[in-house]
Amino acid sequence: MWRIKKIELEDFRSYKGRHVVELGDVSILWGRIGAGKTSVLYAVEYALFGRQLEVKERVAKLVDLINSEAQEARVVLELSDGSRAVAVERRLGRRGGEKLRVLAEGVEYVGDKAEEKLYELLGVDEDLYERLVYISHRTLEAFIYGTSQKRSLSVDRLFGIDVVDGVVKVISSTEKTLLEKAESLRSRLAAFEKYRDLIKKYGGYRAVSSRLSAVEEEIASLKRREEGLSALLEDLAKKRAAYVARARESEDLLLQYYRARSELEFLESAGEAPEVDVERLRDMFRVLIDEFEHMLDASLVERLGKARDVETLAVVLAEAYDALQKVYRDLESQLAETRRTYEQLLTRAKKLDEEISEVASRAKRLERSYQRFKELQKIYRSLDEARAALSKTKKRLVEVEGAVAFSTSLKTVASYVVEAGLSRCPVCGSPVSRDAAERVVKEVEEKFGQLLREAEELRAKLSELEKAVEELEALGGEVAEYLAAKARLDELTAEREEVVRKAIQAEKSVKQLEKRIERLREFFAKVDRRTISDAVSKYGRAMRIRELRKSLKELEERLKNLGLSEDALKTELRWREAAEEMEKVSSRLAELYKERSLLVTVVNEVGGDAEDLKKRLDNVLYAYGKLEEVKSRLELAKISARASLIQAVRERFNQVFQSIYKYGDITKVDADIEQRKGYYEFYALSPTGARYGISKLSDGQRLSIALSLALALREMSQIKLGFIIFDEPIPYVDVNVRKAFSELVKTLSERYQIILATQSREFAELLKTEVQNAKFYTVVKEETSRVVGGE
Amino acid sequence: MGSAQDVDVLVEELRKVFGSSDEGKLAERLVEAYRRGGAKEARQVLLEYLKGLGVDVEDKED
Repeated sequence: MWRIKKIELEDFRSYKGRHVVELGDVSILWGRIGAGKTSVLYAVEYALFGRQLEVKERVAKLVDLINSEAQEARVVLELSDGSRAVAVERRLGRRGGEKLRVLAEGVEYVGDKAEEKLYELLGVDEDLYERLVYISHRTLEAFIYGTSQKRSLSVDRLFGIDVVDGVVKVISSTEKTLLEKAESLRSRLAAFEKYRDLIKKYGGYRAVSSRLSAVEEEIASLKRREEGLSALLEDLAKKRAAYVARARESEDLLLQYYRARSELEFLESAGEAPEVDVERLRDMFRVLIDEFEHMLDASLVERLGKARDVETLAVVLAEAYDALQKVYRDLESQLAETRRTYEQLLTRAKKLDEEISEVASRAKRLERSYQRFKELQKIYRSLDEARAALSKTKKRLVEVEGAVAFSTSLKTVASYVVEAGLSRCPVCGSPVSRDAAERVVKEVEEKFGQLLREAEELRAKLSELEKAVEELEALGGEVAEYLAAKARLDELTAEREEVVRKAIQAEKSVKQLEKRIERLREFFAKVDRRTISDAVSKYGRAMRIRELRKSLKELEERLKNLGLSEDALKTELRWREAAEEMEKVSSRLAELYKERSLLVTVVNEVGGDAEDLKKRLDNVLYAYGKLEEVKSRLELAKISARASLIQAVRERFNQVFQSIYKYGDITKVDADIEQRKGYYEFYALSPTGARYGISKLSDGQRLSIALSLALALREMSQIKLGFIIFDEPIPYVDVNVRKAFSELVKTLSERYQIILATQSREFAELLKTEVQNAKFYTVVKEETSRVVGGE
Repeated sequence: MGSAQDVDVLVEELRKVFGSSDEGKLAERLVEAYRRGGAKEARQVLLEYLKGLGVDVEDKED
């Protein structure tokens, strides 16, 4: 275990220059308040932990450790552990730069390596050191004299769980800020309600904010303008001095001049050359009126050409416009009517086409029959004539067949007369000669062949005629139908031609009407009542400008004759303009200042959109709730940790107590956690087994318990330091406690190196008497702190 | 009893009390930050957490 051999301080706190303190097993530093005792103890701590002192808030600023008259502080600490030795040197500059050098076992380490080596050798960090090695009156006093709460806080510190209190304090401080924020947001929301109508008027809070910026910009710009105008007016005032008397005499004339000039400038500012517009418009009307002359009032063109003054021109143009509008409407209705007619004709033509197609098809179907009929008609002329020929042929055939039958019978009778040699006819009994019979036979034979051929021909002809008649009779109906179809076809074709002709005519009319309507539409796209009004207004302005220019020239001439030169008039004009603008600027500035004041109030009091403010307030309240929850649970965790830590240290705590408390009236010390608030409940048992709570124990007994707990924790830790530092451990206690503490120190000195600082001479003397090997040092401060003695 | 062991006991109890909630993680981070750099560092951790909840404590507008 490492003990301190020597402390070297150079320009450290109240120690100016270099000072060396060699320590023994028990070292008592005595000195008045502010003499420099604690500086020696801090020097040890600074040498070991450097910058951590600032981080852990042991010192407010590290540079405060440097003597006020020096630029650098230096501390050297020599430690030994039996034969082993280590030297730690730490320097601190005014700019906060720190240099650490560790010399251990003949090896030098610097910077981070030195820090690492130091921790490896000592096994302690600043936190543990401050809790278990550096024991101040705060640790002991709170335990001995404090309430249960203070005692618990003191023990928490020893256990290192006081961090929870630190965290809770941080949370509480933040909660306070959150509550302030919530209050502020509520006020802002209330302000939003107060100014709701105004904010709404501007279109929301953002618009208010933007408006404020715009107002600020405009104010800045107007201020600049105001300055410029002031300078100009000052300059013009000097020039006016030369003619101001004459100007007063011609006040009325000047007034007329400025009015005319002002009006002229106003009219000119709207643009030049308006006459061209109205003439172009007039031409456009003329062209159209000529084109639609037949539909319009004949006098319109004449009146349009003659109109010169603004009023007449306005009336005539409006009249012409209305007339053309009417033409346009009439043409539109004509077009609609013509389109209807055209559509109807197209429908009729289509229907006729269908009918023609049907009739033509029927005629075509009947044409062959008709052709056949015509062929037959060519041969037989007509059905009646064919019938007559048939009748005649039939009659002739009967006659020929009768003649054939007679000839056959006559030949048979004559041949019989010849062959039988009869002199009388066998049929009628009349006398007949053989010669006459033979002649008859011969004559019949000669005629009979001819008769037979004729009969044959007649039969063929009869057959042909019968067929023709039959066919003619059959074709009669179809021929009639064919002829009717042909007649209908002619009729329909004629009608179609007429319909198509009319449709073409209608189509032409539609196109013509469309073209004319399009012309009017184009015109109306360019010209409307507003165009006319604008053009007329510009025309009027042009007329007025012409008048004003003429008038101004006359006025200038008259003023010149009265002694006011052109330059004077210009100066006066600029003066009046500047004065007028100045008035406007001032008036506008007054308005803006008023508005800005209101906007600034709204922005300052509201500072955000209502929805945004509500959301932020909700967030703040939610966060506050969460922090409350965390705090409450942290407290719970701390109490549980107290119980666990007491359980862990219980046995060792009692052992240490038994080793340092020698009076035998307490056989055991222990602690529990009380249920109500979770505080530690320390108690002692007497040899009879009686339990004494902390309030029943003497201050000396409490002191022993407190030290036992600290030492038990120390022994259970990995600390490799063999010294304990007591910094004013019991400043305001009675003699009995001091006595008890002295005895404890004596006992502890058997195990640890003790370094104790006190302002009590009596306590220091008592310690020196009680602890035989104690070295006594006096710390004094004159120009610098000094440590003297060490016997 | 060393510092590391103290932290273990405390952190162990924090975990028991908070479970694995976001607030538990926050509590652990706060304790670690406080041990490392005192109130200043713990406050930074807390402010970051609050920013996550949409609250900027350092925002002077409120």
